[in-house]
Amino acid sequence: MPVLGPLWWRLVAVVAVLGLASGLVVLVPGTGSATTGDTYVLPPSRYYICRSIRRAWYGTYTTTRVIAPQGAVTRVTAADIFITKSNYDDLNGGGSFYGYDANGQQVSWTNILYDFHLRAGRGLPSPATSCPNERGGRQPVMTITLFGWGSPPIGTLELRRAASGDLTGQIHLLGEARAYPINFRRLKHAGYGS
Amino acid sequence: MKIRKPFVIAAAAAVVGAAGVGTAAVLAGATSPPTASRFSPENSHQWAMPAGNYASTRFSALTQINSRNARNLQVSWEMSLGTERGLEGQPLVIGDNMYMVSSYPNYVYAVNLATQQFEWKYVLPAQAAQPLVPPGSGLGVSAPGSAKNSAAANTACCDVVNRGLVYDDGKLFYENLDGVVVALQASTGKPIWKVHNTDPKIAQTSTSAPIVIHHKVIVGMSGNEYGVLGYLTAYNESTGHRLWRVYNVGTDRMLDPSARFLQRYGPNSSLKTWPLGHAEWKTGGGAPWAWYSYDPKLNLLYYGSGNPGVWNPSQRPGDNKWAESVMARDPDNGKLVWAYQFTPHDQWDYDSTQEMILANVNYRGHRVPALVHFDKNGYAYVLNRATGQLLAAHPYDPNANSIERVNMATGRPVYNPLKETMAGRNSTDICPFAQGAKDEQPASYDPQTGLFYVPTNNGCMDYQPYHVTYHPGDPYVGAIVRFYQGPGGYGGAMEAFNPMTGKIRFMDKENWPVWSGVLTTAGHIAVYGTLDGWFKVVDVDTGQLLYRFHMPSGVIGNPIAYTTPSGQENIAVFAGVGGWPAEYIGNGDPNTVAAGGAYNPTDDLGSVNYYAFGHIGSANGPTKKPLQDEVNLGGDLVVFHVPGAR
Repeated sequence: MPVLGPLWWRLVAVVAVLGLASGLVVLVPGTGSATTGDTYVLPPSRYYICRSIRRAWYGTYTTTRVIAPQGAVTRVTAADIFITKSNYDDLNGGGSFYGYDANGQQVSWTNILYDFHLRAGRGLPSPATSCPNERGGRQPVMTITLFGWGSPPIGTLELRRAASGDLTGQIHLLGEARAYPINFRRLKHAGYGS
Repeated sequence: MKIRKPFVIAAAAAVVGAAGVGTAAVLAGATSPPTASRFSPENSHQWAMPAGNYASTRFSALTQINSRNARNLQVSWEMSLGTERGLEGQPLVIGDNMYMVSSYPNYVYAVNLATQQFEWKYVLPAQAAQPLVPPGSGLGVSAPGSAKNSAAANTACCDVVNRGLVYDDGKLFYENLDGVVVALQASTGKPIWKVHNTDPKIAQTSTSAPIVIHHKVIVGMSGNEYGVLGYLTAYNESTGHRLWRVYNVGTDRMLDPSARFLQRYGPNSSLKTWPLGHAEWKTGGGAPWAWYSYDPKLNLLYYGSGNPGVWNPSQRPGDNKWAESVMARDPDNGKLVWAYQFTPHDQWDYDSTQEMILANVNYRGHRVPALVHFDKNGYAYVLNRATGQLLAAHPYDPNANSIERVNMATGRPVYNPLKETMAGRNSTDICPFAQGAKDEQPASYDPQTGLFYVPTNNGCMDYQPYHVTYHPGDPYVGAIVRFYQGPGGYGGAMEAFNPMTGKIRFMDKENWPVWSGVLTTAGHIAVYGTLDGWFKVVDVDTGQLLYRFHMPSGVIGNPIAYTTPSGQENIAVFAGVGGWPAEYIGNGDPNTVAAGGAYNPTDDLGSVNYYAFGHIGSANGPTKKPLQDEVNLGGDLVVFHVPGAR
C-alpha cells in the first residue's frame, strides 16, 4: 500500500458520504450478545485514565467554534462527537467532522475518538496516570486521536473540560503545521451520559 | 426508428392461467409483437420498461431459452458502456434497437440489434467533460490533482449508479445523477426537453428509473443520508412541464392525501408522528429512490419510501410516517390513496424502496389483487393493493432478528428490544444489517410456479447512534455501523419464496450478497448474477444450476429477455460491480487500518470504507478472498443466446 503523499490529500480524500451510513464490514463477526460497549476492531488504549476523569468526559458534544485556516480552502467547519467507554473501560467515542477539501468541495469525515490521554503538562507525568483534582487549578489537556472509520484519520484533538462540561481546545489536522481552535458544547439528553 | 416485423409467439398462452398464484394476463402476459401501431410495454418480445411490465414481475413469456437447453447458452456479443461504476439497471429493447444508460457520467446509447453498433449516443454536455470513472463519486475519495467533481458525484450515497431508461410514445426518459430529467427522441437521440428535478448542492441526487403513466413521466430522487425531504414529481411527457409534486413526509399539503386517505388516517398523518414542535421532519428523508409499479385497472401507482433521514433514531421519536412505507397514489394527480408503513420509527436504515410486485393471490378462498414487497427489514409483505390491507407477513431472511413478528391485527412489527438502537448504546448482532435482507436489487415473480425469486443479502451489524446536527449538503447520519456476514456460511442467496406461506422452496447460496436482479421466464429458468462475476441460470423448481459464465465484472444489474429481429431469444445483463456493495471491494487489511496505517483510497476503488465481508475468515463464514481479488470494476453489457434454439 503506497504511502500517501501530501497529508493534506489524505484529508481531502474523504467524502464520508456514507462514512457511517455504509458502515464497515469487518472481519470479525459480532461474537457477544451484549448490547452495549464498543465493537470496533481496536486494541485497548495505551493509556490509563482514572475513573473519575473518564466519567466526567462521557457525553455528546457539538461544535460552537472552529477557526478555519486563513487562506486555505481546506478546513473543518463543524463537528459532532460523542464520548463513552469501550469494552476495556477506556474512553472512546466517535464523531462527524464537516468541512471543505482543497478543491473547495464539501466533505465530511467520520472518525473514531481513540487513545484518549492526558497530555503531559505542568505537574503531570507523561503519560499522565494520576487523577489530578479537576476542581483545582488548570484542567489537564486531553489528547484524542481521530482515527479513520469509514474515512481516513484527520488528526488529533486537544481539549480541556470546563466545569460546565463544555470542551475547549484545538484540532491538529494531519499535514498542517499549526493547530486551530475548536470548542464543543455539551448536549443534554443526547445519550452517552449527557 | 425501424420497426421489427411481427413474430409468432406461443409462449404467452402458456403463461396466462398456468399459475397457482398467477398475475393476470394484463399485468404479465405478452401476446403482441412490437410494431409501431401495436406498441405495448407489456410485449415480451421486447423489454420496454425497467421491470419488463407495470407489475414489476421481471417475468418474460419467452421460452426459447429454457431449462432443457440452458446448458448450451453462449455469449452472443458484448459492449462497453464506457464507464466503470456500478451498473444497477437494465437495457430496454424496443423495435430493432436496444437502449442503455450508463452510470455517471450518464451516457445513453441506442444500439442496433442487428449490427450491434451504435445508432446514436447522448450525454448532457456538462457531463461530457467528467472523467469516465469519476473520483470521489459519493463513495469517499477524490484523487489528488483530479478534476473537481460535480456535487452530485460527491454526494450520491451509494455509488453513481443509474437504474435505467423508460420508453413511451417514441421517446426515452431518464434521470441524470445531478437531477436533470431528459427526454430524448428514441429514433435520433435528440433531446426534446430537460428539467432540473433536484438540487445537488443540498445533496439531492437521482438514480432511479422513471415510470410513464398516462403520458406523465414520474420521477423520484435520492439523498436520505443527507437530510433531504423526499418527493415524487410528474412531468408532461411531451413538454417537460411539471404537473404535480408530492412528498412522503410532511404536512398534508405536501402529502396531498385523497379524501379516502384522510377519512382513514385522519389529518396530519405524517406530522403527528414526528417530534412535536421540532423541525426534524423537514430533514425526514423518505425519498423514493428505486422502483415504481402501476395497476392500470385500479389506476394506482405504487412505490416505496426511504429511511427517515438521520440514522440516530433518538433524534426523531415517533413513527416518522410516511418514511419506509408503500405509497399508493393516483398517477393522474398524485393524490395519496393509501399507505402502509413497514418499519415505524426506523432504527436500522430499513428503507422500503424495494420493488412492489403486483400479483394476484389466493386469500381465504378469494382471488385478491395483491402487492408483494420484500423489505430491507427481512420480511415479505403481501397487501391487498386496492385497499392496503395486510394479508401476510413472513420473514424471508432466515437470520432476521430485529423484528420478532408482525402483528397481523395492527399491522405493526414487534421489535426485538435487544436489537433496538438509540443514542447512548451500541446494539450488536442485528440482522439484517443496514443493506437489508434485500436492498434495491429486484426480485422476480414467476406466475407458473407462483413463487418469488428473491436476491438476498446475509449480513448483520452493530449500530451505535449519536447526535448530529444538520448541515445542508453534508451527510446527516449519526451512527457508527459495523457490518459483517450473517450466520450460515454464505453472503447472500437467490431464494425461491412463497410469501403467503412463508416457505422457502430453495436457496442458492452465494459467497457474497446477491445484488443483481432476477429474471424468470416461461422457459422455467431464473437468471441472476453475482458480485464475484458469475452469470447464473437455474431451474425455477429446484434451484439447480443449469449454466454459469464468468463476466467481465461483478453483476449488480438486472437480466432481461427479448427477441432479436431474426427471431432469436436473447438474455442481456450488465456487468459492472459497484453500488453500495462496492464497499466490499475494500482496501483490505483492517489490521493495517487499525494500526493507523496509511489509507490508500485507490485500494478500495473509490469506496469509502475498507471492507472484508468474511475476509480472513470469521465464525460466520469461510475464509474468502477480498472481492477485489475476484473481479475488477467494469461497465459492460453481455448478451447470451442458445444457438439453434427456436
